[in-house]
Amino acid sequence: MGEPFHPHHAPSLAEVVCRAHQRMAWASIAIAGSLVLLAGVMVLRIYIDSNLQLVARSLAHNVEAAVVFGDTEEIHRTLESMLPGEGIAFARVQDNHGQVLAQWQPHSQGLGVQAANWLGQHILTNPTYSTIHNANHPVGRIEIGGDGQGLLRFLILGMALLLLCIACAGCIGALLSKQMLHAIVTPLNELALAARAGRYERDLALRVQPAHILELRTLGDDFNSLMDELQERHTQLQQTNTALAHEAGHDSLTGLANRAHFERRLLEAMAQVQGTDSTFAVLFLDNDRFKQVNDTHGHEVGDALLTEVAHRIRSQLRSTDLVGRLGGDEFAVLLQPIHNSDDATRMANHILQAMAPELPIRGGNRLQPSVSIGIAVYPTHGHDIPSLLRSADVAMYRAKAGRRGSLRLAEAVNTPEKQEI
Amino acid sequence: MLYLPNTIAVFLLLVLIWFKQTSAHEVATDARKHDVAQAVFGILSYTRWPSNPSTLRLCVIGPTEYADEVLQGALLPSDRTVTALRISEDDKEIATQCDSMYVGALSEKAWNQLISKVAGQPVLTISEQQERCSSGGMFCLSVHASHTAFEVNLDSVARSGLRIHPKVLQLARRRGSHG
Repeated sequence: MGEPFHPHHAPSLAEVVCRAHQRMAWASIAIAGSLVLLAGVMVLRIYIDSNLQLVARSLAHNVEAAVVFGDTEEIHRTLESMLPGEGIAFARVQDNHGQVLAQWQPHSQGLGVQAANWLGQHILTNPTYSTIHNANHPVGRIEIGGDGQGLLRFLILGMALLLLCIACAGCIGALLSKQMLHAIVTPLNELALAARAGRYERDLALRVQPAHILELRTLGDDFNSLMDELQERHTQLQQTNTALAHEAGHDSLTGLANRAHFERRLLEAMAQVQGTDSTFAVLFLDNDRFKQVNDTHGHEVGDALLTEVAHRIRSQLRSTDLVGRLGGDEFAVLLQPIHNSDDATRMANHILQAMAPELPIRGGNRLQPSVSIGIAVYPTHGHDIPSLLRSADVAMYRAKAGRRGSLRLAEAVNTPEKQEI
Repeated sequence: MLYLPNTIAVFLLLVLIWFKQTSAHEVATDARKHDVAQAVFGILSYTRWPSNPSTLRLCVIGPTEYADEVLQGALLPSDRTVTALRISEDDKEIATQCDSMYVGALSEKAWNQLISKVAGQPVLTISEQQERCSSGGMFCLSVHASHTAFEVNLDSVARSGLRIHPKVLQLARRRGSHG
């Protein structure tokens, strides 16, 4: 889950839970197994001890006559026939005076036998004694020591089984934790995915499904509510942003683009027409006699006039064109795309025609809106924004100087340097 | 005269060797006597008489070689006392005087007479001579330096009415098969 988002090697929940489960399984099996093994050793010890007693007693019975007759050869023979395979490490037959009549030891003395003997010496009741009776009178004594081979076998087998159990328990623990983790990790992953989508892709629409586990379900519900709130705030913020951005780029009176916005759009337009056969034109418009209107009828009427003019200009344009108010009673229009100056002139004419209806104002008076238009076409009338604007401005003043309410195409320039006036 | 010291020295040496041999022989003989006594008292302790006497009378008959310790008697583990006494093979009352007999080297005739006196009686017979087991004897010792073996004649035992513990029979049979 989430590889790119973990700078440190933090263990995943799956690893932690899996490890904890495995350790728990191992520990419990090891403890239980060791206790069972211990109990087994103790029980086995009792059985082996009683078996040693039995062997000692039957040996005492069998060598009785031989001891009475002092027949050591017969005693040896009896020991040799009875003891092998009985788990005996050594046997000794003594007469009543403590004199040893016969001794016996198994022939093999390997490492396993030594380990078994060590076990026998330390765990079993070694040695075991049994008295040899003849007619209820003691005539000698048997002394035998058990080898721990039975114990050793039991211990080795027990350990092997214990290890097997531990291995199995580890596997089962891992399986169980995987099952449990599915219920935990899936909702967590879903949460992480939604949070990540919200963070990196601004996608606040993702919601998590209700989880199976109560705490996770609560967390998911809270997360969903949080996302709801975030989304709501985000929408508000976006609206505010849009409004603010509009305010920053537009004139508050007419709702037209301001100078900064207009010039930005000009730059964009310049970049767009590079390498195409279309171009763009800039119109400069100046309200005729605006100062007079302002002085005569007051600023309110002046504002109303500006608003009306702006509305009429805009109504003549295409959606791709842009109207800006550069300041005071000056407007500018970006016509894009156009193919030549004729297109621009035709559209400027449309604007002039739109100014024809009179504008009714307070007191039954009427105003005649009128604008003078200067037209500059890129790149004929300027290779960069300042020169283009200047050409349009100059053309506009020429138009106004000629006849108010007319239009004028700027004069062509050859090089940007020669435009200097 | 000049040879005298040499002669004396040789004589002393010979005496010494003889003495040493004698003492070694005596030691060996003592061990055999002990072994024999152990075997005899062992056989007695594994034998049951029909009358179950608390004191066993062991009669030592004829010229015996290893009977010294046997003659001292013993207290058997079953709290029965063994009293040994020398008795002549011609004694008429052998069958009633003796519960058991330890018989030395008797002639075959004397042996047969002795056996006929106790025939069918619960009297245990132990002979120092190995070959007597084929002529009515019950237990016959064969004394060796290292150990004392014995044979048993089961027919004689069965006829006498005595009961011998099988453990003894087992020991004896093995000896018998070894020869």
